[in-house]
Amino acid sequence: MRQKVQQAVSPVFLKIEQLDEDKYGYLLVAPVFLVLGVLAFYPLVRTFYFSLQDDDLTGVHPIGEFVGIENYVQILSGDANAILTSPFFDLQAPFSSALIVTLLITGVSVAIGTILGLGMAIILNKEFKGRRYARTIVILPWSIPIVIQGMMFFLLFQPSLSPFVEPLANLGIFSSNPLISSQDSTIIIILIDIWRKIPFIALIIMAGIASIDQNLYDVAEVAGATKWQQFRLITLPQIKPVLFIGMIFYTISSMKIYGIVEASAGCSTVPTLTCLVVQTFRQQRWATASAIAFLTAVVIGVIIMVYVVRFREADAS
Amino acid sequence: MNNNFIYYDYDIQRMVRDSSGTHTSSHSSARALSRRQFVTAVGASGLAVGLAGCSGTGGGDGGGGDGSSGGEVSTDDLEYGGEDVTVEYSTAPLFGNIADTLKQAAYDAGLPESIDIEFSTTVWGADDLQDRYNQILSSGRTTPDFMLTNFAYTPFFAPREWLLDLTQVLGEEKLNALENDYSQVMVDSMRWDGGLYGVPQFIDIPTIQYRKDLVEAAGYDPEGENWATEPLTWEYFAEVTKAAQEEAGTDHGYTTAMNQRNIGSITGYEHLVTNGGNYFGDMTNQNGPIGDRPVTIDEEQTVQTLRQFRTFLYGSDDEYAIEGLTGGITPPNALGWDTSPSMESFNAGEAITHRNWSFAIAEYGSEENFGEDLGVMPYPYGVSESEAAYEGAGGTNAKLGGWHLSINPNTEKLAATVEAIKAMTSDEFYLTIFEELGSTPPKPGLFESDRAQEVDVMSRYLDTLQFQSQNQFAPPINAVWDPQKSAIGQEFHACLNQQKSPEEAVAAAQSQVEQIEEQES
Repeated sequence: MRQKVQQAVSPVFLKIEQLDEDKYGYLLVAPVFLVLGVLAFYPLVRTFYFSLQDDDLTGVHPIGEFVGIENYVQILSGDANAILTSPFFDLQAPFSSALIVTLLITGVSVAIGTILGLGMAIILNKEFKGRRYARTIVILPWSIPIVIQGMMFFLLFQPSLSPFVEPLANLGIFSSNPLISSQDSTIIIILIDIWRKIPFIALIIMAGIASIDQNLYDVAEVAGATKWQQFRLITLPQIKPVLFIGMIFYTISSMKIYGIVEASAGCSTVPTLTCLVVQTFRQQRWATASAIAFLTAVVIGVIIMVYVVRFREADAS
Repeated sequence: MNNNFIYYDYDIQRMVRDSSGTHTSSHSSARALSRRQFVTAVGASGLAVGLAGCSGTGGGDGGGGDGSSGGEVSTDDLEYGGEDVTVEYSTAPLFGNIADTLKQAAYDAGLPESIDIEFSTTVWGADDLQDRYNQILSSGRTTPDFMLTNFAYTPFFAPREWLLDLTQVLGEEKLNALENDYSQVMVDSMRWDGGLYGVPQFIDIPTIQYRKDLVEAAGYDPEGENWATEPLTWEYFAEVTKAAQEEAGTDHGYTTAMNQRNIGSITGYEHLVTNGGNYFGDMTNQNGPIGDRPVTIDEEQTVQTLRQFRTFLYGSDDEYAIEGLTGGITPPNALGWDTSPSMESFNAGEAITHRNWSFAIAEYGSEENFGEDLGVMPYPYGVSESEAAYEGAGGTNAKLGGWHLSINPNTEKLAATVEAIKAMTSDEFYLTIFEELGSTPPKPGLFESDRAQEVDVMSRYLDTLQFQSQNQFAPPINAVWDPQKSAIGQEFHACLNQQKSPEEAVAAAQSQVEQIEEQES
C-alpha cells in the first residue's frame, strides 16, 4: 500500500524538485495566500452574495429571494433612505448623510493627522533629554481603549460638566450643546480621530526615519543644504513608502470609524457608514446592511487604489 | 551583499541535488530537510487540518443550522430526571451583580438543588443586548439556555424561530396564570403569531418622581391633593415645577431624557399620548396592518406636544411657545441626555421633577438620597381620555417597559431550563427582586401582598405604581417600528433644537413614516 502511494506521488515530488527557485517560492507561499484569501475574501464574497438578496423581515431566515442589484439601486438612488436611520448619500443634508460624513471625517483627519504625525516623528527622532519618556507619553492616546477615548470627549463636551463648552460657545466655535449638533459633533469626532491616530502614524514615520542612512545628511550638510532642503530631498523621499502605508492604514481605520462615535456623540448625531451598517443589521435587514457594507468596502478600495497609483507616480518620478 | 546572495543560491542548488540523491555533499548534514520531506510534511499537515475543518463544519451545521429551532418539543424533552445540571442564564449586570441572592431565591421558590444556574452577565442596554443575541441566536448556539429579553426583540426573533415558543413548554397552570394574573399588556408584548416568546421578569413603570419637600416649601400640598393617584394636568405640573424651582433655587425644574433615541419613542411619545394623540390612530392599530393603518402624526395634538416641549425648554420667548403655559423648566442640555445623565441631574438635587422608570425610585428614595422627601406621581395629562382623538390615548399614560425571560430554542437542557424559568417567575422570586432591586412585579396582585407592603422605599409608592401600571400603553411591536421611531425622533429632535418649526417637523415625520409603511406593506 505504502509503495503504491509512493509510486503515485513520486512524479509529483519529482516535478516539485525540478521547479526553479521562483516557482518553488510561489509553491511554498501558496498555502498562506490560500488561507489569507479565504479569510479576507470569503467574507467579502459572502457579503456581496447577501447584498444581492432581498430583506426578509418576517421569514425564518433574514435573507429573502434574489433581487440582483436592487438593494444598491435603492441605496444609491435614495429610495432606501426611508428605512435607513440616516441617508446613505444626500447632498441636501450633508451632515446627516453617512457617506459624506465618513469621507469628511476621513479626509480631514488623515490630512491633519499625517502632517502632525510627521512633525511629531521628526521631533521625537531628535536627541533630547527625556526622549524615551516623551515617546511613551505620545503613544498613550493610541493605547487607551476606544470606548474610554469616546467617553473622555463626551465628558469634555457635556455642557453641564465641562468648563470648556461655554467659552467655546461664546467664541462662536461651537453651539451651546455641541454633542446634539451634527455639525459640531462631526468636528469633535475629527478631533478625537486625529488625537488617537497621531501616535500611530508618528510611530510608522519614525521607523522610516530611523532607517535613513545618516551619511546622506552628512553629505547634504557638507554640500550646504538647508534643513528644509534636507527634509524635502532626503527625508521625505526616503520615508515615502512607509508614509503611504501609514496613510493607507489610517484611511482604512477612519473609513470604518464607529466606536468613538457611539461612545461620544452617538450614531444618530454623527451617522458614519459603519453606524449605518450596524443599525441596519440590528433591524435585521441583513441584505441592505450587506449592500452598505460592500459599498463601504468598494469606497475604501477605490481610495486605496488612488493611494497606490499616486505612490507609483511619485516613485516613478 | 551580492556575494552572500551567490553563496546562498549555491547552497540551495547543492541541497536540491542532495535531496534528489544524484550527488552527495558535505552540506547535506547542515540542511537535513529535503524539498520532498518538506512538501510531504506540509501536505500531511494541511490534509489533517482540512479534515478537521470539514468535520468541524459538519458538526456545526448539524447543531446549529440557520439558528432556527425547527421541530416540536416532545414530552420527554420536558421531563427533568433530577440529574445534576448547570443552565446558563444570560442577563444584565442588574441581576448578575446579585447572582448568589437570586440563585438562593430560585431555590427558595422550588428550583431543585441539582440545577445550578450560571449567570452570564453581559451588558445593560436594550440595543447592545439585542446585538449580542442577534449573533448568538442566528448562529444556532446551544448556550445560553435562557436569557433576559426585551419585548422590542419579539418582532425580530420570533419570526425567525430564534426563541422557543413557551406555549409548548410551560404547562397549563403557568399559561393560565399568565392569562389571568399578569399585566396583560406585558404578556401580550411577547406574543407573536399565536406563540408566546417570553415570561415577564419585571415590569418597568414610568412615573414622575419629584422633590416633595421642595414642592411643599413652595406652598403646594401633594398629600392633600392626592397627587399619588390623581394625575395633574401639564399646565398645573409646569406651574408647580416652576414655582418650586424658583423657591428652592435649583438649576432645573423638570428633567427627562430627550436625546434622539428617547424623544420619538419614549418621552415624546408619552407626552403625545397624554395629549390625546398617537402615531397610528387608535391604540389597536399599534402593530398593523402595516400600510393599511392610518398615520396620524401630522395632527394638531402632535404640534401641540412639540410646542409644549419647546415652552418647557425655552420659556415664553420661544417662537412656538404655548401662551399661558409656564415654561423654562427643562434645560436644553436634556436634548443630549439618555437615561443616565438625566438621572444624575435629579440625584444631584438639581431638579424638582423628573421622569423615570420605576427602578429609579428605589435609588432616589433610599435614606442616603431623598428618603421620604421623594414623591412619586402618575404622568400628567393634557386632555382626558374622553377628549382624546384616539382610543387608548389621553389621560395619564406611560410607555410600557420591562424585561422577560426567554428560552434559546437550541438549548440541550430544556427540562432544567423550564424548571429554572418557572422558579424565576414565581411570586417568591418576583418579590425578592422587588425587595433587592425595586424591580416591579409584573403581577398587579402582588402589589397588595404583605411582603410587598413591607418593602423598604418602594412600599411607599405602591399606590402610584399600581395606578400607573393600569395606564400604560405598549409601543408598536413590529419590524418597521425601528426605522419609524428613528425618523420621528430625528424630526422631533430637530424641532426641539429649534432647527425646525413644529409644523415642519410633524409634516416631515408623517411623510417619512408613510413612506416606510408603503415600502413595507
